[in-house]
Amino acid sequence: MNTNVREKILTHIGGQKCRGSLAGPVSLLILFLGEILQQMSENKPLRTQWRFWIDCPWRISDGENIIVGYYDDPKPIIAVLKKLQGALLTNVEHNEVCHDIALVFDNNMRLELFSDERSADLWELRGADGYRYTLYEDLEIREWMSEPDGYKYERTKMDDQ
Amino acid sequence: MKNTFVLQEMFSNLMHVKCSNAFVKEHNLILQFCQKSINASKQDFILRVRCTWRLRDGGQIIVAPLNEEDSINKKLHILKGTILDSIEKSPGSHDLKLRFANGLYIETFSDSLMYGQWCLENPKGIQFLIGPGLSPQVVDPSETQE
Repeated sequence: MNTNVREKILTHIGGQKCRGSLAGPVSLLILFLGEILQQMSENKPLRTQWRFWIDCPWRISDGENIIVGYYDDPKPIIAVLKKLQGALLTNVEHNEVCHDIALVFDNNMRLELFSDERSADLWELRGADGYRYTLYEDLEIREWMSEPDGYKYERTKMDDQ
Repeated sequence: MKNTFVLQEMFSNLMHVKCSNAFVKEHNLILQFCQKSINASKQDFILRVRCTWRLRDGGQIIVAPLNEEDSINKKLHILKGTILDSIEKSPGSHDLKLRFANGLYIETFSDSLMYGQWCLENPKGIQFLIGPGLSPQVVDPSETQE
């Protein structure tokens, strides 16, 4: 399963448009990709067909130079992440040794990830239908299904009726 | 150009030199390399790494800078006495990859434009450092002394 990481990710999100991003504390970063499923207002989170969830060291380059890293202040991080919005994911590079990956966009920006022991899940591709493709801290990659997005909310709503 | 030459010379002198100590102090990874010499303490190369790094063996990460210092230092002990086989620097990112004779690797990952990433000091005290904004700099203490 590990040998086709690049192909697996590209199959799902290759050619998809980055709709937005969310940088959290330390190294947490979420990219929202693909079709917008719910048009939210400004102060509510975006809901898209795909999310790329990251909790390992990352940085962004313009193809030649690093333009921001997770260790930088929030202000430059937010400014650079805005440039990713609207860009199409054109390629994925994968290092088989530690599963470092790079997401390459059509505006030449590259999001590079570096595997360490930071989190139980270093990165995860999440589909709105519950699909998960996860790199765990033991550097094992697993493909599995979780509950679809909005499942808990919809179930609770139905239970209340 | 001068910076590149200084670094190439440092890397060349580091080849096949023994790692005499490896530890973490104040969030920096410190690797000391000892050349064959009677007065070993004055023959140390010192590599200080501020940015993200990992120690790996093949496909397994042995340690990364996330645990308590004591725990990291115990795992770094494995590098002591090991010969450095090769050292490479990526041109754009300045990431370092050090390969040791026992199959271990130290890899760094530049993660910020605001802070220095790593610094290599030779036995004469000349420092090559990747500073904020990832610009290479050489600091020669003999040039700053009167």
